[in-house]
Amino acid sequence: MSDYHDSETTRPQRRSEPTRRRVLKFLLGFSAISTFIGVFTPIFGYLIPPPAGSGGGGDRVLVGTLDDIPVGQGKIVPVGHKPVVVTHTDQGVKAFSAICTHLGCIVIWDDMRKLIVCPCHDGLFNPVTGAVVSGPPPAPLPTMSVTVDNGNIYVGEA
Amino acid sequence: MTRTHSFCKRLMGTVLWGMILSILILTMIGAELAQAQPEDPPSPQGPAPPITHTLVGRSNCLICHATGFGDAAANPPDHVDYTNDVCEDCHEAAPGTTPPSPWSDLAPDALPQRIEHPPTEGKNSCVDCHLVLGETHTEISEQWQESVHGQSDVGCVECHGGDARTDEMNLSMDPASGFIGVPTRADIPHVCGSCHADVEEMRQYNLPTDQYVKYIESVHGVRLQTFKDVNVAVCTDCHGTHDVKKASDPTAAVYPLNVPELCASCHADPEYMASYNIPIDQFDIYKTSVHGRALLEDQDVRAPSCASCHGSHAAQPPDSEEVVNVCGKCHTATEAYYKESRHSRIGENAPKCWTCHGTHDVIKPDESMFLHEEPTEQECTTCHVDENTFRMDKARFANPEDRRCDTCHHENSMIMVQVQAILDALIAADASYTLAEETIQEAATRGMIVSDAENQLAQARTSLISARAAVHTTKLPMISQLTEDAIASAQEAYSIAHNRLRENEMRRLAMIIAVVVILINMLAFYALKRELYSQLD
Repeated sequence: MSDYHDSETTRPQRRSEPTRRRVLKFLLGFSAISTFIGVFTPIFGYLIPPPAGSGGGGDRVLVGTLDDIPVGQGKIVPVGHKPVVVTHTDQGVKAFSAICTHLGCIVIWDDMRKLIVCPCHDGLFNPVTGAVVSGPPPAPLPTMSVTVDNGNIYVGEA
Repeated sequence: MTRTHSFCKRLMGTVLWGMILSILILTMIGAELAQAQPEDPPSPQGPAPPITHTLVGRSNCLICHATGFGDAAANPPDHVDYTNDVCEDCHEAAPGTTPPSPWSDLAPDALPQRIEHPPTEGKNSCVDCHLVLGETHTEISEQWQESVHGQSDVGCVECHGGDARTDEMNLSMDPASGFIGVPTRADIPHVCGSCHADVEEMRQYNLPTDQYVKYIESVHGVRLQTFKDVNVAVCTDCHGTHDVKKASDPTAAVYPLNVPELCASCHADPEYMASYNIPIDQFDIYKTSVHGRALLEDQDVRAPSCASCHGSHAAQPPDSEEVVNVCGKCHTATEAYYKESRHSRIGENAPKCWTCHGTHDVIKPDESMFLHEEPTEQECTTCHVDENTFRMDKARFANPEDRRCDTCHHENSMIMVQVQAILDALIAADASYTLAEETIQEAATRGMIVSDAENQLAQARTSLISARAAVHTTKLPMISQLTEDAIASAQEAYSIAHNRLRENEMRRLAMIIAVVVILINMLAFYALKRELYSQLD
C-alpha cells in the first residue's frame, strides 16, 4: 500500500521534472538563438545593403564629364532617384532640379533655344539661374550644388 | 329783325369765348408767375454786370464773390441768399471768355499737342491756393501731391493750362495763358495723350507711348470720337484724375488684381449698359472660371484679367479669327499643337479655343469635354450648308454642356471613331496614372521611401499632360504614343510602389515575429528565475 502510495506520489515528479527542464532548455536555447539573430541581422544588413537605396542623401554623384556636356549644352541626368538638369553655360556648369515647379513635369533641354523647357505647358527656365523666363511656372527650378573635378561633373543637394 | 337777333347772338358768343380764353390764359400766366416768383432773385436795380473772366473751371462763383476774394467783386447785400446755380440767370459771360478746346481742330490721325502755357519756373501757384480753399479743392490738391504726377512734379498746368507762376487768380487762370479749366470728357484722352503719346517726354519714365493711338482705335475711343458718346470709358475712369497711381501699385484700380472689378464697375451695371445692348454678367461668370479663380482667389497676378484678352487701352472683344492668338499668348504649347491640327486649317468656320472652352467661363478641362452624356440629335444642315461647306453657329456652343466633339461630329462618322480612340487612350492613361499615384501615396503614408516611384510618376505625368495638350492636334498616333509612354511609366511607378507596400507588409510581419520572440524570451527568463529560486529553497 505504501509502495502504491510512494509510486503514486513520485510518478508525477518523475514525469514533470524532465518536462520542465526540457521546456526551460528549449526556451533558453530559443533565447540564445534569437539574441544571436537579433544582434547579427543589422550587422549583415549594414554589410550587405538592400538594392533599393534611400534616394539620395547628401553625397555628390558623378553625372558626366565636360566633354559630355560642352559649353552651350544641357542634359537631364539622374541623381539618386531624382532627375537633374545640368547646363554648361558661359558662366560655368550649373545644375537644377528637373521637376517643373508648375505641375511637376520633367523638363527637357531645348538645344535650339538654349533654354530649359517644360514640355507640358512650355514653361521656359534660364539655364544660368533656373529662373522662370516665361510660361506658367510660379517659381524657379531649385538649384543643386555642382562641382567640377578634373573634367568630371559632380552634382549633390544644394 | 331776325338777322339782327342772330348777329347779336354770334357777337355775344364770340365775346363769351374770348373772355373764357382770356381768363384761362391769365390764369396760366398767373400760375407760372406764382410758381417762378419764389425761386427767382428779385430784380436788381439796373442791368446785371457781365462776367468778365472765363467760366472754364469756375463753377463755384461764391467761393470768391461771397466775400470779394482778391479782385472779385463782393456780392451786394440783397444777394446774400443766392446760390451758385442762379448767377448766370442774370450775369452773362462776356464774348470771348470761353475759349474753344485746344484740340477742336485735331486731325483724326494726329497726336494731340501739349497745352501751351507759360513756363512754370518751378512754381505751382494752383496748389498754393487750392490746398487751403477747403472741401473739394483741398482734397484734390492733396490727392495730386500723393499721386504719381505730384511725385514727378507734373503740375496742374500740364492738364489745366494757366500760369503757375502767379498767385493772381485772373492771371493764373487766364485763357490767354492756356487755361482750359476742367477738361471735358471728350478732351480727356487728348489731355493725357498730349504727354503720354510724346516719346521724348515719356522716355525718362520708361513708359509706353502707344496708349493714345490704341485708345482712339478702341471700342471706347471710336464711340467717343465718332459717336460723341461721352459715357464711354476715358483715361480718368480707370486711372483716376488727381489721384493717378502707378499700375504696379496694388491700390491702383488698374493693378492686375483689381482690373476685373474696375471693368465691372461699368460693364456689370445694368443701367449704364442698357443703351449698349451688351451682356452684364461677364464678371460674375469670370469669377467662377479657372482664370477668375486664379486671379481673384489665388491672387496670381499672372492670371488673365479682362485686359489680357480684350486689351486695356485698345479694348475691343477679340473676334473669332483672333482668339487663337489671344489665348496662345499664354497657352503657347497648346497653340503650337492646335496649329498642327486640321481644325486650324479649316478657316473662318474652324473650331477655335472658345468653341470647346468658352470665353469668360473657361473651366479646367478634362475627359468629360469629349462627348455628351447622351448622344445628340443632329441634322446634316446643323453643320453643313452643302456637302463641301459648313458653318459655325456660335449659339450652339453657348451652353458649356454643348461644347463637345459630338456637337459637330456625328456619332457614326469616321472622325468620331478617332475621337473615341483618343478618349479611350486618355482614359486608360489617366487610370494608370491615378492607380500609381494612389499606390505611391499609400506607400508614402506607411513611411516607405518612394522617391524612385515618384520619379517614374513624374515621367508618367509629363507624358499624360503632353497627351492631353496634344489632343489639340487631333492626331491619334501622336496622342497614342504619349498615352502609351504615360501608361508604361505609370505601371513602372505602380510596380515600385506596390513592392514597397509588400516590403512594408513583410516588415510588419517581421515585427510581429520579433515581438513574439521577445515575449518567449521573457517567458524563458521568468521560468529560469523560478527554477533557480526553487533550487535555492
